[in-house]
Amino acid sequence: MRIDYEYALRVLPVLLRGAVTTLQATIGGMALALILGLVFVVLLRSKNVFISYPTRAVLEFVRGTPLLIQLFFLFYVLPEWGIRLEALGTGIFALGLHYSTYIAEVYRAGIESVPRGQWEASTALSFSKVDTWRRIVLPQAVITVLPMLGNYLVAMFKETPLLATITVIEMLGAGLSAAASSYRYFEVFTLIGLIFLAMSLPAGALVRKFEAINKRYA
Amino acid sequence: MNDHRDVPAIRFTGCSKAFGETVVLDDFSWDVPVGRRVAILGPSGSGKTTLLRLVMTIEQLDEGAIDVFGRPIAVGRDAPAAERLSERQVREVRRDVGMVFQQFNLFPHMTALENVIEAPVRVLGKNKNEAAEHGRQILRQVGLQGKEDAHPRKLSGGQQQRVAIARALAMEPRIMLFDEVTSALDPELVGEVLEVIRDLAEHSSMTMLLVTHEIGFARDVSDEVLFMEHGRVVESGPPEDVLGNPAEERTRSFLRAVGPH
Ligand SMILES: Nc1ncnc2c1ncn2[C@@H]1O[C@H](COP(=O)(O)OP(=O)(O)OP(=O)(O)O)[C@@H](O)[C@H]1O
Ligand SMILES: [Mg+2]
Repeated sequence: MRIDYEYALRVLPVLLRGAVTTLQATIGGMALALILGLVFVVLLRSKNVFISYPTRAVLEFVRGTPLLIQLFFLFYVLPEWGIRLEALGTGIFALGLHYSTYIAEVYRAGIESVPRGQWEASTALSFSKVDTWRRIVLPQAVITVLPMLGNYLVAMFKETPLLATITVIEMLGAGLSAAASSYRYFEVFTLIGLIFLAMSLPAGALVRKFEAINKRYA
Repeated sequence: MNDHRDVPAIRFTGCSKAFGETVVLDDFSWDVPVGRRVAILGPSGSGKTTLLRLVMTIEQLDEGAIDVFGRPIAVGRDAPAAERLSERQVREVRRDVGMVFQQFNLFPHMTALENVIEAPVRVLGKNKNEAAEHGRQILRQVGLQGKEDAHPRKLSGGQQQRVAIARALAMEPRIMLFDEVTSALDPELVGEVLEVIRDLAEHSSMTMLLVTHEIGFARDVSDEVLFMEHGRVVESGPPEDVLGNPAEERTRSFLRAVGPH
């Protein structure tokens, strides 16, 4: 088999434009997951069982069904209910929702890892509830779970090709449509793989950096 | 609000506390006059730590009441609605009280100085520069100049405990509670922490409750010794009486057990 370098060079910008969309989906999805995860963990820790139990059920449900099905559901069913999001928006929402259920558990583990003495010192210094959470408990919880959050970031990044199935022109989507006319599947998928790898490496470095921060303070 | 001379710094009225079946405080009543330094002694499990934690509102009182300078800080869990305290009321009164813990409980993600100024800034609403200046001064007072920017894990146990003392002092409390603040320390680090507390006792008018197993230290800094067992007062009085010539057999056998001093 001959590799068509000239074609590879021509298709590269198309793929890189797709890569930008991949990054948007990852960053948007992660930001949403970090926020939703926080909301979920607050509801989960509620002393009111009418709040905590249904929250747990929702989390189990979302975690127990494939992301692909959730994507299809949101993309094809929501418009029937009059909710119209563009494809990328739907994809970011699905990624964020799906991962928030895992991240809620990560937060929970982080919060539980903060020693009781930290709460007691906060009481002794008369911190308000909000300040205790914001200044004392959450920063320590987040430092503890930074490496885990980093791993979820990388995992989500690698799942973004799923968005191609709902017409998002991210890297895979861009590659598929390019290859459909050129039949140069080898060049297209090799390039996609290399671009993914090139973006994973800094993400991996980030995770190691998180681990170092974690070691420094925990 | 009368902040009169004869209003005690802390008043315990019929305080009871149990953890499940274990009764830790049993109808405990006691007044701590303003400015007094009380050493609290007693065998393990006698309720010393719980007593301090109840004042600090870390534990919920079952029955009775605790007043600080004549203002209620804690009431029993079945107190009538009219006597219950709002979070705001408790916070207000609690500002007069500082506590130093056996395990330091410093904030590991903050430097020594940040540990010290966090509460003055957040809780008292102090200006950050002002708080930092005051914080540096307090750190100097406990012998930690030069350590302002160190994180707790970079400090020795004795230094960490002195940061914890500084952190409590930064709130300018009128009452300080010390719960066996040297028992988590290596023996060679005990002295520097006791020295700081001695110095504090000498140069301030704060009311202090000191739970300790250091009999010599208790004799030096306190002007009252309270010996307790099973959540009740066995005897209390001037250190030379309670430590030198205890009236109760239980006190005598406790002092014999902890060794000659
Ligand atoms: N949070 C808790 N849950 C259950 N039991 C507790 C709790 N805190 C204290 N206790 C029990 O209450 C009793 C009194 O404890 P406390 O810590 O007040 O004693 P202490 O006089 O400080 O003892 P020590 O000298 O060992 O520190 C002990 O039997 C202890 O096991
Ligand atoms: Mg104790």
